[in-house]
Amino acid sequence: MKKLWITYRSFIYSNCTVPAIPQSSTYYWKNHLFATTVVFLIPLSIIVLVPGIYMAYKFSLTGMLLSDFITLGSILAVAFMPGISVFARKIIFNGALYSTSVVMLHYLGSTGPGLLYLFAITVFVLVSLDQRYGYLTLLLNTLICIYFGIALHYGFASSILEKEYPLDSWIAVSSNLVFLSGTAVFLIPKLFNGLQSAFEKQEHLKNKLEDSVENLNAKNKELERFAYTVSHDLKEPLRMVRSFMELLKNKYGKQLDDKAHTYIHHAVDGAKRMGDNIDDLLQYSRIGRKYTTIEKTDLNRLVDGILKNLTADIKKTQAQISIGDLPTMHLVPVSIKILFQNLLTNALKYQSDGQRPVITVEAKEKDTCWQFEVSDNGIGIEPRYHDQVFAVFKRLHTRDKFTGNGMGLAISKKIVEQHGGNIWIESNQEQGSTFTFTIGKHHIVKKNNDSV
Amino acid sequence: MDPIHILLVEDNEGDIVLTTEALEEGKVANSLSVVKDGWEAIQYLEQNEGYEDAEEPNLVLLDINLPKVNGHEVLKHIKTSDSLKHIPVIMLTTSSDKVDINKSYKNHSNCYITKPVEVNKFIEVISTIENFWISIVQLPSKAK
Repeated sequence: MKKLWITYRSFIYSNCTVPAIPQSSTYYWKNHLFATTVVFLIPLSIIVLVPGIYMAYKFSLTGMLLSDFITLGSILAVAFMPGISVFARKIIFNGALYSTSVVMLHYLGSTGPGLLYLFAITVFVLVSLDQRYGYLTLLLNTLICIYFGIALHYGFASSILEKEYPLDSWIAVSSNLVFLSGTAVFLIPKLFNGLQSAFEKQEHLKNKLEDSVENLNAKNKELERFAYTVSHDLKEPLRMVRSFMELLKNKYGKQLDDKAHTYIHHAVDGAKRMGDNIDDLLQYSRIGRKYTTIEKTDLNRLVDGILKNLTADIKKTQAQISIGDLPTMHLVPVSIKILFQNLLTNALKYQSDGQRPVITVEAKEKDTCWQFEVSDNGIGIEPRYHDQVFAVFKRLHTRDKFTGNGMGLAISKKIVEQHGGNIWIESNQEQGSTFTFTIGKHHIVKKNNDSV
Repeated sequence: MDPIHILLVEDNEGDIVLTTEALEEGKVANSLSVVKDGWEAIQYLEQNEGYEDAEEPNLVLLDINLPKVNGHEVLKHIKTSDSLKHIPVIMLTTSSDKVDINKSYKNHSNCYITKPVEVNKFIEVISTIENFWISIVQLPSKAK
């Protein structure tokens, strides 16, 4: 039944609308209103026609019977006959309604639906065509009223109409119709004009927005390209420093004393670290720009994967790691993997000598977000440094104690913020640390265009 | 076996030294010519003014980031020239950008290698190139 209705509706839509008209044009909506009217009018007209035909038959009003059939035929033709333009369909439709209302006025008088129909036609015409045709209906309505006035005056009107109205009453009733039609002719087009300008404004704003987005995307790409080129150009001379220092060691190592070896070591180490810094800066710049693909991710599996990567460190330190039940949620897996990897690596790394790391990862569901906790029993961080640790290239320890360039937590913070969350730390010196962060359940990943 | 003639198109002096030394360490007899920008490379290959006596190389090692004419354009020149397109061209560059890689293969580069950062790996790669392209592969005979 539903299928039948859909087929029926789409068939009428294909006949009664003009394809490829943008929704921002009121012509599109006028056609759709017309098609919708036809769609519903056919089943509804049967409700009207059946008692109409019965009445016409009962009172042997042959003219009305004929007119009812002509109207039904015309509406069916408007709906189903192929090869007629939409404009012609609208004219036929309203013409058929006109003939019905005149016939009704003649046979049923003004208590019948005739006058009502005349007003309805005005509205239909205004909705489906434009104001010019509205004026035409106003004229036609006036002429019809005048015609029946003349008929009443000269006594050739139907008996029903004559019984109802002396001429003066008819003038009073019909002038109301003319008044209402006139009001409709002036008001309804105003409504459409208002709609049209609203559509145009919206379209204009949409275009402007699309332009800005396109612009922004182009800028982002340019920036990404720039970051790549800069990092490439910075690393290229670095590679030379490193290469020739290593070559020097390889080829002339035997001729050099210990001091020279230390010098070479520091040169190579510096070059290596600068390379790492450039890589990390590049990664930092990519969060929210390049890493933006959101996927539904099972965090249990994601963290499992990271633990596999850390197997060597875990074995070496004999760490005891327990992972709670983690959710599956929509996020940027590339970024979140970096986040967990950084926090777990830190938890394993910042331990006093000989201490066996105990690390837990827990997740708690909140109203609008999930809250994650990564806790360890490591060396901890004094409260006065808690804010600083998230800054770019911020380190709290000398390199001989703990390696690293101070980018890990800065990157982590940026990732959390990209996911609409917060990250903070609870810790005291020698008492372990707990890093807590939230990830919104319904966040939209922010795409930013930070510089390199 | 005839000595193999390699044309190295490279503007970075450091890489020229590294590549030369790595090739010298190899077991295969070869001769190396070096040009330092893309325009020179084309002049050399076309035996234009100043390079009338240049010998056609058996193999070209081509960097992308070159002065004047970049490596992509040199590659395109070689691979669209009837007298040069049989010469195998190995892209040897610091770039690991997908755009560069795809563009090179679309222009019929014979292979694409990103220069390793560590010097030992770099030397290893050069000797692998030498071993593969000179000892294993059958190269085409020279046109002239």
